[in-house]
Amino acid sequence: MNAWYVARKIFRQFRRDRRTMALIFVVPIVIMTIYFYLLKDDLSLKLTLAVVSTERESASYKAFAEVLGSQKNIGFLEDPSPTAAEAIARTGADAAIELPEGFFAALARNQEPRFAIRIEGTKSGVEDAVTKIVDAALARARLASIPFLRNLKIASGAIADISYHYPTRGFRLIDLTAPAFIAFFLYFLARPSAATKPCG
Amino acid sequence: MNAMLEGSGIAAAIELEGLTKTFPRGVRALDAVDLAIPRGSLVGLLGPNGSGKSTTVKILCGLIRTFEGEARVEGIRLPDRRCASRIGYMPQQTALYTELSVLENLDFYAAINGVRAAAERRRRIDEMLGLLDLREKRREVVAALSGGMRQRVSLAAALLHRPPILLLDEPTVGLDPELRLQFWAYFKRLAADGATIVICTHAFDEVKHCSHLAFLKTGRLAAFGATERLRAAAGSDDWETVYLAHVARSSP
Repeated sequence: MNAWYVARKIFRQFRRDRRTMALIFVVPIVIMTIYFYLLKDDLSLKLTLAVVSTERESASYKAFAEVLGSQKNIGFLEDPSPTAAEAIARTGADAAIELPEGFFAALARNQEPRFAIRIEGTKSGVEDAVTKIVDAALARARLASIPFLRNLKIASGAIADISYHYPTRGFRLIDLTAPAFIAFFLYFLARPSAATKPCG
Repeated sequence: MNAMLEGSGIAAAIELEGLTKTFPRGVRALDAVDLAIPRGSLVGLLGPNGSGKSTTVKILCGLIRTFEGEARVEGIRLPDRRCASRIGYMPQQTALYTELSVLENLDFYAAINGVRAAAERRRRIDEMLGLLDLREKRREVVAALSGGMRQRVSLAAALLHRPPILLLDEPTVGLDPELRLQFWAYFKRLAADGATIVICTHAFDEVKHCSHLAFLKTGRLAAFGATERLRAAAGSDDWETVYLAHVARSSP
């Protein structure tokens, strides 16, 4: 029963305590707004993805390209450059995939072939987006020769060697947390004392 | 020492037997204090800073729960939650919520001290506001009140649930002389009505208002008895001299 009286008292205190009300309602709204503008690019991330491969005529590659080409947020480029790094330098793509000779054959044999993903590095969230969609596309390519398994959602088994064209890996953590830290520091620096304790 | 005061036939409201409190780092705040406070008495707990007055009161109202020896309030051995409703505690520094109004503070304290019926709470609060001349200030937030007004609200909060025992820790500090006299007159009235009141103070000019005095020195009880008897035993009208005489007598 005392809990009810204590809760009522705290509610009354909140009503009079504008700073606490600001902490509960205004600060989260401000922080979420800051996050929205920070992550806006991530939320509507439109990526340009260059693919370097010498096996463009194979059925597996076509299945792979079909998946990538059907993605609304992926601008799919087939690039003639010999390496992913050169493809990025030439096209300015957000990421490039380099599929080595014999890659699709190894994939079809259920081996774990390696391929390279090179991230351009100036946008956040690219690595996650690219690895997920590329793996899904490779899984489709692996099952290209088995029509009734085409829509099965499995991992490809291929191993990606991820590298950054501009080495900004780790940028994302501070990018995400700094505005929150700044907001909290500003709030607590401006707040002289807690007002929810009895006086004295 | 039992529930009946030795030889007097009067029931003790508060009994302490060998009460000892040692704080961390070995600071001994109370050292084997034996005391039996008769019901309906107005007891002044006197001593310099650090003599153990506030520690005694905090043990009695349950704020300090670990100690050696025994402390009983109305026969209930402490610590015990049942004592909360029997005790009104006014701390040295007012424990009021500054952003709440006088009414809201009093309503909260009455409710958590067991006055559950809203109509009864309103009636008691109104009575208390009248008694302590706080009616005009009832809707003001405590932060806007003067120190004296806060003391009155704090006293009202301690009295709302009509406890038979009142523990007041320096209730008149910072009050103007007129208000101090009003407070003492009110305490005497409460004691005459049967309440047992223990007041911590080091204001020697106020001890004349008490029916009994307990002199504390560095955690030890130097003397306890009826005010007039202690004064007569020391043979002086000066209360500082009376205190020093009893402390000197009790020193090993």
